[in-house]
Amino acid sequence: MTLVALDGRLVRRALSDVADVVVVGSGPAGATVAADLARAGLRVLIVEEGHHVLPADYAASGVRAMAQLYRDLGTSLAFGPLPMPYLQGRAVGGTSVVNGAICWRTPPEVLAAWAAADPPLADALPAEVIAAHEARLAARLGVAPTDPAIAGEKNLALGRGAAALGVAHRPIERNVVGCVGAGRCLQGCPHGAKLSMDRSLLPDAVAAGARIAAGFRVERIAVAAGRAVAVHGETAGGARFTVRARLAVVLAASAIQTPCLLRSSGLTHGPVGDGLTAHPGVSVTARFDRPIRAWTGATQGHEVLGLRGEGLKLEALGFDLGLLAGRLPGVGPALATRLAELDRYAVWGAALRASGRGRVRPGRRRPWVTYALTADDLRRARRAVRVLADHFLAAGAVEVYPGLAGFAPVVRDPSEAARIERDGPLAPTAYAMSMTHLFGTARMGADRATSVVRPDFRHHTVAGLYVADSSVFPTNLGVNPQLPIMAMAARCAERIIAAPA
Amino acid sequence: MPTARALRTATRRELRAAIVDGHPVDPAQLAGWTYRGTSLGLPRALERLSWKTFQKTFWREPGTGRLLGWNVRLEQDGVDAPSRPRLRRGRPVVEWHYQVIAPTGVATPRGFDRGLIIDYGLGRAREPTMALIKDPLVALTPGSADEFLGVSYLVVGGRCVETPTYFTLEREAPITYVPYDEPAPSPLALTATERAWAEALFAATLGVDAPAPATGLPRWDAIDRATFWRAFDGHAAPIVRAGLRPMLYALTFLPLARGHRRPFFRLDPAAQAAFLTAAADDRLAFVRQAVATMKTLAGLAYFDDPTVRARFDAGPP
Repeated sequence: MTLVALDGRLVRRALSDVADVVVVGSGPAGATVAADLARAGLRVLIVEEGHHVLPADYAASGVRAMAQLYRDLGTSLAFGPLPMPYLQGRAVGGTSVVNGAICWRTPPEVLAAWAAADPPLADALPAEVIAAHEARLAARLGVAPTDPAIAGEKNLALGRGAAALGVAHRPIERNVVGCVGAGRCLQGCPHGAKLSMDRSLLPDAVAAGARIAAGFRVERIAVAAGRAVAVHGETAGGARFTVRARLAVVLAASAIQTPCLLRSSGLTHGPVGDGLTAHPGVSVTARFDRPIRAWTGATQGHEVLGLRGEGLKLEALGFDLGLLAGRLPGVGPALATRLAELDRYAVWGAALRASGRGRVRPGRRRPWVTYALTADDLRRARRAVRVLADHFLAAGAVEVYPGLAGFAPVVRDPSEAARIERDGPLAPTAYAMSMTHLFGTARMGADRATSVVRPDFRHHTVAGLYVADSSVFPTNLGVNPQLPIMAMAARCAERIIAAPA
Repeated sequence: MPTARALRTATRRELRAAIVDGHPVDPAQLAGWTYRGTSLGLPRALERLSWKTFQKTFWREPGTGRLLGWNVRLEQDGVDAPSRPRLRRGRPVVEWHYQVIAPTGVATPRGFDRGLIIDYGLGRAREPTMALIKDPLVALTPGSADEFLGVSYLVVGGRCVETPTYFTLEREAPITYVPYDEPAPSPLALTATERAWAEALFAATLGVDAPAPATGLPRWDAIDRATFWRAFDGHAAPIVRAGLRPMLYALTFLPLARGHRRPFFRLDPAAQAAFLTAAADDRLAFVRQAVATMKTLAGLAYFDDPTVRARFDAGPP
């Protein structure tokens, strides 16, 4: 079965098409909503800006693989007091092709908090319905704890460190089947072990009758008489295209692209593009006295849960050699000496459930994203650096490099680590952080003044227009959102099916 | 299964049977190679009007990962003479552009789906008439990519029409000429001079600008940097490409303001290291960020090189 029905690179003359439902984006949200709608008998066309690349065709060069599968080579930036990179996939399957395959269920306390803040959401998103979707999707994706046999030393060491400190930890649950621990999740699994959307729900959708148009960049949603009726855009071959939607247009293009598409279409009702939330990540590097070979084993295979109450989740990070080298301290000959022993270094990170906010606006060439951490977030980041250092030292690291500008470059014992939290800097520019897991730029809510979509995922002012991705999340989650995004998209599909034609 | 040479005397019936009984082809083994093609099964008069020998190439397109290719016209020196590309304005004459795809979902005559399909409708430079033509390709030996047998068929109105144009392919040499133009340089791309400055910073940042037997790391100038620059210029976010230039100028000329009396690329290695060490802890966040950016980019470029990866027994990334 051919996954892609229309390859935009080959479409060089104006093209028109029609479907019951047009789904914009083929990542976890788009794939889920498309599969469920197609199974319900609707004619679905998934429109994806990226191309379909088979695992056997992933470039052997890491840099070229990033060019192949990431938006802007993974160099997208959010601006603010601390500029932070954020990564997005751009391929059939979206970011699921290049993520760490981590799967969490939506924490019940998050759904409860959403309902408490906006009571209609309690009925719209029943916890048991979301949980049932997550269970079904987890089974489809083969979600299971990371096998210690292929975890690799960087993951096992984090478990040992947490155990020594008495902090709860566990192997990460991932959507992989037959993982050999190649450490290449972030460049696209060449073994096809990761059940990313292009290897799971998109084939399901196509088997149920959906079609995929790859290399089709949607630029505008057409609205007539208060209803979304089509999308317009350009193919990778340079031709204009229009796809008419008989029933609905579903946006599932990410918390960055979806609000840009709404705004570019003149749909500026509500706080569209505002309220961006995220899980900013801070990482710490350490040196062991034995080989760790951090680029081998499961890319992200172990996590520490015991600090989630503080808004911190620690994970082992599986960077390839080039990114790992960039995290080592020093420059020049001193760095070269360290590079010669690169196999002894590891990087672990902490994802922060931050209270910072940002916004997204369409720019002339790319979306313009701004984001600012709060003072609380910076204190949380400083604490994260300290606890990461504690875990490294407990795991047997001989040197830890906090990476904080203006602070001790090396920590060798727990008392020095404690000093990080006491005396470490709180200026944002002292940190090197990245932004992961983006939410909230077309948030869901009952109040049309403070939200963009209704509790049934439909746009407040445009009929037949739905948002199914993490843009609708009222807050961030504190956990990796792939499975929650898919469960919400499944709920969106239910509401579309139930809506009057 | 007969060899490519033995098939030169085979009948059309035998050639067709060889296609149907052929073996799968691993596309990964094709990429980067040229193959010597020999036409079979055509009347001699027709061969004299066209060609008896030709070259086929298999090339992985950067950015998309598609396995593409094109025919190279050869001087007709005889079936056993070495390949000699016909030249026009000093460059090989190329034609018949194609993409190599799996047979899944492709209309083929019965039994023609054993190997791969050469699809002339999907090549990088296409002509409408060629879009009707497809060539199934099968390996003559299981698991080997040294010899193949192919044949052309047409897809007209959804129906497959077989032709007698069989051919063998024999592995010849790595590709040395790619006819596709590189994209026009962006105004954001660094000039050659600026790129040299950047590479001076990259090499010095990693400390691999001079021979270092103690570390056993390859020197910067011994590695492939072109792959990195192609990816960076072609795919990095515009704001990042635009931002690299002020960082580059800051670090290149800041030594003049910090008592070194020369721009960075004119400093000796020890002075470069001293400057970068100080700059990494500079009071200005912009300068610190510039050093961190150079280090990140240098790491990506350096550790993408196969010889560097081999030093760490890391294989392809």
